[in-house]
Parts: sequence; C-alpha cells; structure tokens
Amino acid sequence: MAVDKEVTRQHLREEIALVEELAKTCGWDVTVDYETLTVTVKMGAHNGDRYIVEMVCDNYKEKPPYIEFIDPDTRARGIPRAYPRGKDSFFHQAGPCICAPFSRKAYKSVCPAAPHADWSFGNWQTSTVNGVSWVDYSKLGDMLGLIYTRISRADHYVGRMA
Amino acid sequence: MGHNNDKTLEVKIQSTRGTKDFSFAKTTKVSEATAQAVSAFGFAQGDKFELVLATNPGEPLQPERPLVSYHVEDGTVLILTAIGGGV
Repeated sequence: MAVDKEVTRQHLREEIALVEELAKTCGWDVTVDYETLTVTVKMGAHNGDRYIVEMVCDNYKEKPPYIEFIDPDTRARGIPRAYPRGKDSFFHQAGPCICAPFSRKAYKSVCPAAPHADWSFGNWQTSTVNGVSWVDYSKLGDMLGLIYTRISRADHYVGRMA
Repeated sequence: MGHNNDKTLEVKIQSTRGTKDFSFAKTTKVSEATAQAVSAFGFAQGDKFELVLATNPGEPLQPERPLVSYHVEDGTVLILTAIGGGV
C-alpha cells in the first residue's frame, strides 16, 4: 500500500532537521525536494574526492530510500566511478549499491544486479544482519552519517570504486 | 548564576540524531563519554560508536584516553560516529 506523500514529507522534514547541525559541521550540501521526495547531499572524502548521494524516498518509511551515487563530473547515475570504495562490502560492486538494509537498491527484488535476494522490506528498520543493530541507521541522517564516516577516514576510504 | 567548575567539561556532541550538551568530569575517558552519548541519543548499546573532534572528523578518539588528553575543554564540539557493518 502506497505511503501518503505528506506522511513521507513529514519524515523527511523531521529527519533532515535532526542532522542539520552535523551536516553544517561536516560541510555537506543538503537539498531536499519535497515534490519528488528526494534528498541530495554533496559531501567530500578526506582526500578531497567529491561525492553526490541521492536518496529517493517514495513510500518511505514503509520502504527504505533508493540510494544512488551520482558522478560529480559527468552527472552519470550509478556508475562505479560515482561510488566510493572501502575495505569491506558496504560499498558493494554488485549493483553497484550501498549494501545495507536501509538501501533499497541492495534488494534484488528492486535491482536485478543487487546482492540480496534474501532481504525483504518488512524488517529493514529492525534488521540485525551481520550483528549490526540497523535500527541505529533507520533515519536518513544516520545513513548519510554512515556514508560520510566511511569516506572521511583514511583507514576506511581507499578511493573511487573505478 | 552557575559557578565556573574546574572539575567538569561542558561540551556539545553532534550526532545524526541531533545535538546535545554534556557535562563530563575532567577525568572522563573517551569510552565513558561515548557510552553516555550513545545512550542519550537513543542508539543501541551494542554497536560500535566512536567520538571524533569536529575539527578532525577523520580521526577517532582512542577509548582508553581521557577527554582532556585531546585538549577537550569547555565549548569543544565532538561528533558521535559509527561504521555500521559490511553486509
């Protein structure tokens, strides 16, 4: 059943407000389109590499956001070069996608190239896969914070995916 | 009017779920401050969270060290961060 757009808008308002101060401290450029229910964030890695994260939030929070990276130079969507590369499978080459229950693109039912046929949307906010309490990453700011932590630390970020 | 208390540190901790003011004893270790922040922001205790200085977000503070060893003083802004997991 579709989530009323105004309900989703309220989630966006609340969750983006929570992370507003942190976003300013970290130098994120946050844009919210309340008509398309899309949050776009520009952020930088510790070495200056630029990233654009797009979160399409139709039917949020019944479904997690569809998170995509957009190449900052060409504006190409979802290409490996647009993605960061880390030391584990969080930034996953299959998709490519963010491999986390909060990332709609990680679900094979959404993206045939995605890594997870075993996940379902029903418990995306309370999943404990990999021993992680994903409830701690069930708000938009949490997801952005996780991405930023992984690109702002030299011990986690190794460059672009391609 | 409050008295200047030389025994405590009055700091702000920013997180993905807002910003809060904290008062820590000067002997407080990073691990203790982290645990208090995790609880205050309503995060699950089991996950791995770390504190970083807002002025140096790429370097997590070592848990066993006292906050003051990082020159944390009244007004310092810290950030509560997490890594999650690779699935």
